[in-house]
Amino acid sequence: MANMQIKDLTKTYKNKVVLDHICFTVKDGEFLSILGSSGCGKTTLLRILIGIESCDSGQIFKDEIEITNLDTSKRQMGMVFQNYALFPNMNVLQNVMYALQLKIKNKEEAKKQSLEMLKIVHMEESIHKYPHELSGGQQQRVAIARALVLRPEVLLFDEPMSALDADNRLVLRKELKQIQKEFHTTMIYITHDQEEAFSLSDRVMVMHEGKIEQIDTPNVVYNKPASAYIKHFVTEHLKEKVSSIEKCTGIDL
Amino acid sequence: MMKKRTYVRFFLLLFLLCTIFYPLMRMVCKINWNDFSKLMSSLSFRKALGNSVLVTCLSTCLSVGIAYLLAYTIHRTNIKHKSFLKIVIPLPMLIPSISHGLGLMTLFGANGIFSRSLGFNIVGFPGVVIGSILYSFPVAFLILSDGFSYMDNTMYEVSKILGFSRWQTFKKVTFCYLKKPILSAIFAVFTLIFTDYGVPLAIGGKFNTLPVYLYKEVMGLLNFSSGTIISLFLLIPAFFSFLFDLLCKDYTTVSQKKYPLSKNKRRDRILTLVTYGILLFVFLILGSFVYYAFIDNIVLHPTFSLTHFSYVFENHLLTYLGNSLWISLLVSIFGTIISYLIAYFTARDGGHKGMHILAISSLAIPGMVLGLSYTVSFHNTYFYNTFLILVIVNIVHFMASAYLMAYNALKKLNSNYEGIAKVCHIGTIHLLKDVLIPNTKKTIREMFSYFFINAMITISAVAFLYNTKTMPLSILITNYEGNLMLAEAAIVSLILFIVNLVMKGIVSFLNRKEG
Amino acid sequence: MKRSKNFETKIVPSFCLIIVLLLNLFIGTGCSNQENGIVIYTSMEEDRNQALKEEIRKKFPDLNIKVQYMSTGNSAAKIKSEGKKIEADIIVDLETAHMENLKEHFADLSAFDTSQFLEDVIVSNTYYPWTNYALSLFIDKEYFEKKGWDPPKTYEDLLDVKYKNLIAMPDPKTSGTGYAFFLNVVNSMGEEKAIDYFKELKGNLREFTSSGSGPTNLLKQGEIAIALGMISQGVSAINEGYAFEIVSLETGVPYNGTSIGIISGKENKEHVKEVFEYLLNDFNKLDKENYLPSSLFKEQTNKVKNYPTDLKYADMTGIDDIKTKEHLNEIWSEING
Repeated sequence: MANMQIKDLTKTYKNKVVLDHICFTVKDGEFLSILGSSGCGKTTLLRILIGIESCDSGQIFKDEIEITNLDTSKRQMGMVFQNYALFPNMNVLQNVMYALQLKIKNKEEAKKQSLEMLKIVHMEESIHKYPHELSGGQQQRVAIARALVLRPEVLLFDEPMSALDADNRLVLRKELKQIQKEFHTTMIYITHDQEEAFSLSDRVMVMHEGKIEQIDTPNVVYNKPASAYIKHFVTEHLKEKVSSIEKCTGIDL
Repeated sequence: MMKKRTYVRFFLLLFLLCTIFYPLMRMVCKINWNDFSKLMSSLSFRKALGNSVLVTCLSTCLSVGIAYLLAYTIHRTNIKHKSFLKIVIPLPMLIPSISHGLGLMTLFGANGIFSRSLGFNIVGFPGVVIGSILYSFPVAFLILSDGFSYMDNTMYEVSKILGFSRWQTFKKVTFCYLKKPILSAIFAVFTLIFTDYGVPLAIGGKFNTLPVYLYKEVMGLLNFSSGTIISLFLLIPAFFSFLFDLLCKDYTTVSQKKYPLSKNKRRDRILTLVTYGILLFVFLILGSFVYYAFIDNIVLHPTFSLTHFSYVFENHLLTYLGNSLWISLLVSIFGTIISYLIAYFTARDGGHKGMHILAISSLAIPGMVLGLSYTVSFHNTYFYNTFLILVIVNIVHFMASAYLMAYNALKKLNSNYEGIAKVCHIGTIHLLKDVLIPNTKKTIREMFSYFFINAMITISAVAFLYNTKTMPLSILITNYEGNLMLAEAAIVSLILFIVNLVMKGIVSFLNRKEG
Repeated sequence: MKRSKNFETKIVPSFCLIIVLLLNLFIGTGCSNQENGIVIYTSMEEDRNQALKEEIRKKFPDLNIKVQYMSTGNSAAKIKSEGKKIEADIIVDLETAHMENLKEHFADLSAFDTSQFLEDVIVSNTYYPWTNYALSLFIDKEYFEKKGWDPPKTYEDLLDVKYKNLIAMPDPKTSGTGYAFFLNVVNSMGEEKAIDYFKELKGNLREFTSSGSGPTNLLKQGEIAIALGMISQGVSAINEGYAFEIVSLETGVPYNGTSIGIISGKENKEHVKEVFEYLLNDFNKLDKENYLPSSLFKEQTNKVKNYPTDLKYADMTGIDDIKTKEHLNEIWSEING
């Protein structure tokens, strides 16, 4: 686990300001959700944090060490992508093992660790299956295992569940929470699903048009939205969900 | 890893510049503009230009029309044995164009097998038109067939629900998706026919076309100056077709939905007849080769004999075959590697517009022009009379299509692999070896066979660059044609056909096994 | 570690293999170019080239000798453009006018034995005579009989519309045969009339073939009915069984000459002198006696059956002169580009 400090991060792309002097911190072992509608810069932020893209200005610190210009492979961070991006020509076990094997250069050890990780994500029955034989939810589990097996200090998620149905999402959410408890990995989680953000996170960071609107615990964001945008986009939406459940069940929540 | 990648990219760019850009520039610089006006005022040149335009326009329309008919038959009717037809229709692409011309001559020349009883022959303009259609319609067929199979078929269901008439459906759905493939096919065929000299040489008689004009000027007299000027004219249609391909929007999708074939027995019967009729005609040509190869002397004693075979073998056929196989293998191996690597850099590694344009620019350069530019630029260098120049000219000549195959295949793969590789510290070489290449194996095999088959049958690019030690088999056909030794030319054509068929068969088998 | 080690041990040998292949391309052919092969360019027709290949194989079974056909025009152009770097060592049957024009690229042949030749045939020491071939019209006798036609007797007769697409002539630019016909017409009609004549004849022709034997081959195929070509080829076709007839033109028999030489610098290459010696005297005689009768040697017997005797030669002034050739080539551009 690690903490992170982001100072004054700016990114302009084709004359549009994608990230506007972003400043925030992430605590050790924290689960931080980044919430916002499409085009607000969340994915760009994530890609800059992990080093796949570069920023125009600003600094990134991990455990007080500057990593702004550090090579991705040296940042000890992991990422889970939206479309899983499993390697289609390898089975589940090989997918998880592959990067670890290259890193520790020991096939047997890599296999052992991968099997353990697959157990944790409940995929140990399918180790010989290929990605095209798996459902979306199963593929996502494998993707998470693949990222975790390298023991990253910070794990980033780029809308990992947006392609899954509600049922799968709920189950995976629970499991993700358990994994976080077990590994104490700092997790930064992008989503546009308000419910997801609020139920998973220690803190929620709401972004809008390249700026941070508010970053605080879900409770505070819900009850004391810092701007009209948050009020409209987040609070009102959740309130409506609550009232519709009340209507259906007759229970006063 | 970073440094290595930069070196490789730099080397590839250098390779492209040296083999495409430099020779063309050199050639253009060597043009004597006084000769330009002399050439333009020459009646024969203008006649050849006019002939070329006329024959190409007519042949292109007919060729694409036939190809469309065949593609429609395969994809929109209930005709039987579709997979068989899909394999058989492109087979004419396995022999050089000159062979088609010679075949036509044996059947329909002034003393052809059929023309004797028919009372007329097709030497001259009609022969060139028919011959041009023969080797170009399979190319158009492949493009159109691809177009049909990548249409979003859900649109048809939508149009049904909306109550469109058949004509409206065709206009608003089919044509919209087929527009690009049809235009692509037209341009590709136009360029092919406009720049081909095999067919007019064999069956044109005195109907002179621009490529034949260039061939006679350069091959016969080494008149490079007028050769380079004529090359400019040959570059024009190719250039436009290249621009078109570059700028045109692509509506293709990978739709899973199957097109609901309508039942229409009459339509099916008619089209079956038409399809097999066309194929019969095409394979009649191949049949005539077989016939000629085994007959002693068509005029004096038409009896079965193997004298032509022994002649051909005595005259170093195996050496030339060896040359061709050696060249084609090298072209396939290195051509595939180079095209694939360039495609990797342009499709996946952040893109590189310059390399992309250079790589596909060879589509715009006809074989003869390329060969001529190499002669002009490199004839004083050490590697002029070696196999190396033949290998390079073939790689460059056919690179564009192979590169596009790799480009499209690599682009289709999940875009996040590089991201994962970076995050998980997977090196580029490992990513290529363990992920990208295994997932594009089918395409790589297709690229390999594409390079191989075309290197075996090409004549135009190598015509100016070979010598006695490096002469490939395909050139032998031209030499035999020059001496009107039709039986020998037929034998060589047959051998080329068989070799290419075997290669195609192996690749198709391997690809089919993969499923 | 294991996996990348494997990979490393695979990369290095494959890299070496590639280097070796490339070196082979560069050096392999380069070396053999210089060292052990002899290359002969010949402009003769196919059957004479076959004979040449066979006789050479018999006489020099251990030598690597390549015989490559190259039309006269092409051969001359290559010599002009590549000079001493040309791959050929010996040039056979190149038009004498070209030999004279390109003599700076040819070696001095005075050291070779020419005692067998007739007195006045040797005119230079950079090239020696190869042939003096006579030309004529040939017609498909059966076809003419079927049509009830009389054979043409003059050049003008060929303009008759009934012969449309039934005549073929070699292209004067690429073939010595074609050039000889062209020169003969110019000599008999004058330049202006000749230009008009050929413009009109072009409409009647099936095609201008690039090689001299093209028309005769087309005639053999039955594709045309009148060929302009070498008498020796026509006679050999008749002897094979084709129903052809040789038609003597009223203006006489046109002719052209070819020669043999060694590319300058190549005379010292291994075996070139012996091969040339053999070609100059032995094969030369064989060729003249069996294929193309022309008087070159003191002792020579004509073994070609049915070869016409008492040929009345036409006006071929300037046939060996390169300036005439260049001038006429320019004029030809007006007729056929």
